[in-house]
Amino acid sequence: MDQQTYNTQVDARAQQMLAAICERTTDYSHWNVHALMMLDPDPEEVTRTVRRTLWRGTEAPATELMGGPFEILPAALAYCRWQDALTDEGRLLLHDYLTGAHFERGNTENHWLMYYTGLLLACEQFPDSDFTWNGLSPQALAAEAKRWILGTIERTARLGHHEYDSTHYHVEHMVAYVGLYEHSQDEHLRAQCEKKLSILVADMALEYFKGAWAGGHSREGYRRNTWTHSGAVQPLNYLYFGDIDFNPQIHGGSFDTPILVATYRPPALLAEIALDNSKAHIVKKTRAPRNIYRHAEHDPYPVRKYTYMSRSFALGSTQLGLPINTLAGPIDIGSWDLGWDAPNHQGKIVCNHPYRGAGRFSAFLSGFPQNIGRAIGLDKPYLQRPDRLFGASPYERMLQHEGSIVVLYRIPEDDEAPFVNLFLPNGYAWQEKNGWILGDLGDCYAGIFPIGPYAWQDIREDEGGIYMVHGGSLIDGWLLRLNSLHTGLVLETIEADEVDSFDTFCQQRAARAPDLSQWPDRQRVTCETTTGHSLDITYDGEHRVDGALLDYDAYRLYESPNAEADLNTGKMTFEREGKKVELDFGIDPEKPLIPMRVIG
Amino acid sequence: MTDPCSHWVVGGSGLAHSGLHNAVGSGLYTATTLDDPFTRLGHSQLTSFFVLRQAQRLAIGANHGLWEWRRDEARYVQLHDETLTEVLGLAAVPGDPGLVIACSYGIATAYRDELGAARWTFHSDSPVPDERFANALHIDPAHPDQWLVGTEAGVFIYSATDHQWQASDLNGTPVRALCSARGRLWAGTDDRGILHSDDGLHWTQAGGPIEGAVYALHDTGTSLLAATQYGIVTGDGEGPWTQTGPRLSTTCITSDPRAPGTWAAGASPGGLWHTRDAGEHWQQAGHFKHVRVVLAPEEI
Repeated sequence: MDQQTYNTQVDARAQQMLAAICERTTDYSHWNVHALMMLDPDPEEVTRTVRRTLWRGTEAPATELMGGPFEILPAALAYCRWQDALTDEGRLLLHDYLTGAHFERGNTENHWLMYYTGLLLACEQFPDSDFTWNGLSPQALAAEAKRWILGTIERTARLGHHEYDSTHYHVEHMVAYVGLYEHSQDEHLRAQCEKKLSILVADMALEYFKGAWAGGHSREGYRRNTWTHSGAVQPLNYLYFGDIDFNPQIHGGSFDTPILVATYRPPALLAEIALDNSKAHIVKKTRAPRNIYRHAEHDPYPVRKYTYMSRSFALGSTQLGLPINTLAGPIDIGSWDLGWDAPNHQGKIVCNHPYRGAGRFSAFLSGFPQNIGRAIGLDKPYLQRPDRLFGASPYERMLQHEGSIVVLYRIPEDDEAPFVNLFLPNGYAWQEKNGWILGDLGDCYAGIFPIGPYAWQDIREDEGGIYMVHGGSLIDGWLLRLNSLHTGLVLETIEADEVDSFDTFCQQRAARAPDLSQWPDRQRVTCETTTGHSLDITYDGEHRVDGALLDYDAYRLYESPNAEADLNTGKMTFEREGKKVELDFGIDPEKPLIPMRVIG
Repeated sequence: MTDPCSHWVVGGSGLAHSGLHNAVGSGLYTATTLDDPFTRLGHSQLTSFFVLRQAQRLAIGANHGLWEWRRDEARYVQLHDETLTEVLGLAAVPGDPGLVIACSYGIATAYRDELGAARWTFHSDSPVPDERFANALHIDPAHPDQWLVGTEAGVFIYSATDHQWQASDLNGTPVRALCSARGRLWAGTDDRGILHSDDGLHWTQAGGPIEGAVYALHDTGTSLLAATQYGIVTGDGEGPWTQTGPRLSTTCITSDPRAPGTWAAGASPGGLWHTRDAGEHWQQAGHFKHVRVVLAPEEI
């Protein structure tokens, strides 16, 4: 597909999404008011929206208002894009808000990116204004914002994205860089942002699986990681890849709207990569180390991702790189899952230790460890639910080869959650043989061997349920509670057309029990796959496949049939069928990196 | 009108949230007396962790950065840059901006760049995160080049003259409170109570055991006070510590030098509490749910 054809397709989808936003919206937000201005310009409505959302309905002067990343960025984007179309009152309100209201930076990468992007754009637009809330000159603030934005782009190009591959927060990165690419007055910054956008879209494309984002994710929270298509990134999946049915309720209307009205278009090659499921392949990525600032004996190692992109399923896993004996558990991590194309709730298998220890939060937040667990849990109760199916545990280790994975846990006796949750979809007729739970998933088959005792429960949570749960809009399926401190599972998935029948797969799989003779005493589990491979994992020890020792340190920044890049070079190539996108961020590998001071 | 450089100052909030997603939360509040209503100082929503009062300003270590409130301009001015956040402790040093900070990434000092912005340089280079994470900072006026740092791994001393770190024998426990009093240095720990030292390197148990973590220390002149995980304790640093007041997660404590026996303590959660009879009776003040900083009136 040539770039012009691709751009035309994206243009059409953007228009479709914008029209759907306007059709269903009565009260616009400072994010989606862009849709109105694009299709049916009403500058008075922008003024009303600003009054309602940024002034919160008050008549207060702007200097008494407050905001954060979620306000400063959309306000700046609205001003930059529509200033010529706004009324004098609208322009003045946005000017006053952007220079007068007191803004907080937040504490995650997406927070700081949105904050610094909004701040930089405001400083460029109003270089002679008094940023009364801050006290520094617009020139000083712009310099700070540029240092952080360019430094963060360089970190990504050298080490991999920090708040990596997030099904939820990726769109917040995209909208900020699109805004800079479209509106910044700094040509070098715009050029770097365009390259960063290519990386962000490539990250989506390499693990794109029929509307879903396969593999590990730094942040896949909000209890939606059992959804077939999860997270706020879905509008971008539709916009840029377009192979899924349009759903006006899901595809557009929030953080994505400024992207829909933008001129930025990714390289068409990235969409081709995303849409090519014709051949099974492995995608390896290195991501930046997690940011732990206490409860650790040393700094974390880089994150290594391994994702097997098969024709009808995708299995991904993560070597999280956390220090041994840390109390840290990055709160929104999705470390592994198996996904396939199926109705919602019917296309994921995942397990998780719902770690609740104090260090879970205080390793990354500066509150007192003694009470931060309860404090965070008050604001975000889903983070501390015992049935939780996402969120890192410091007691989880895993080894994957192609469609097979071994996941192990060694949970301390005094842990608040002495068990692991395993989610299975409830729309299949599962079979059990020799300890294996076997499922015909349609185009692929899966076998799961829970290690140790377990209890078969159901899990059903409704997003709006207060009194009674009549449906399971949030989660609906089977919950297998793996009830031991030294537990885990072995899972194998194969394409249905690679074996005679489901019965044959069941017989072959059930005939090979994992070797648990050294578990847990010697911390070692081995198993054979039906395809003739052997997996051999020692908890906090060696990982071997077919006898060969794995070297995660040898992972490159990108390594797949469609991507290659070495760490710390700032250079990468994405390619398919002879076509290439080559990026060179022009970095000096000897130059110190900007320190990462945010979580992600 | 209250003057935050000489009246009561409270850093707290009426809500649990930091303010990022709910812009009616945190900030600094002032009042002339504890009986007066507290009014918000400006319109910042910062969540303060530590406030250093100086003659012409308040320097405010906060969750998302470092700020100062300038007495002459009655406004906030940003002191952080893109490398500084989560500021837990502060101390004054010569120069401009004239501060050394303790934060979750270590300790740092700053200079002014050509645009007038503070640019921070970190001095913590330990490979062990717990040794970098600086909860508290104290500079003994008798040794201004020896900076006492309370970390997640214990007390360390940083020499500002030769930029060397020295570990003390108080290690293996988080230290969140440091102060000078009665000719000694004092440290509050998570699980070993309170200790004192003459040189910052060698520490001795001070008084009896204390339940829970110690978050702040204060000398009224007649009593030593400690804000702890389970309330306030008072003593002389030699005998047993005596519990006083409600059993709260007390984060900060001070006394009014103009009114002996008037103490104020902040709790998170729990708000602002005070006593006017040296701990016989305590009562809540203000509208706070969370307080991390309380400063008594003083003229500097």
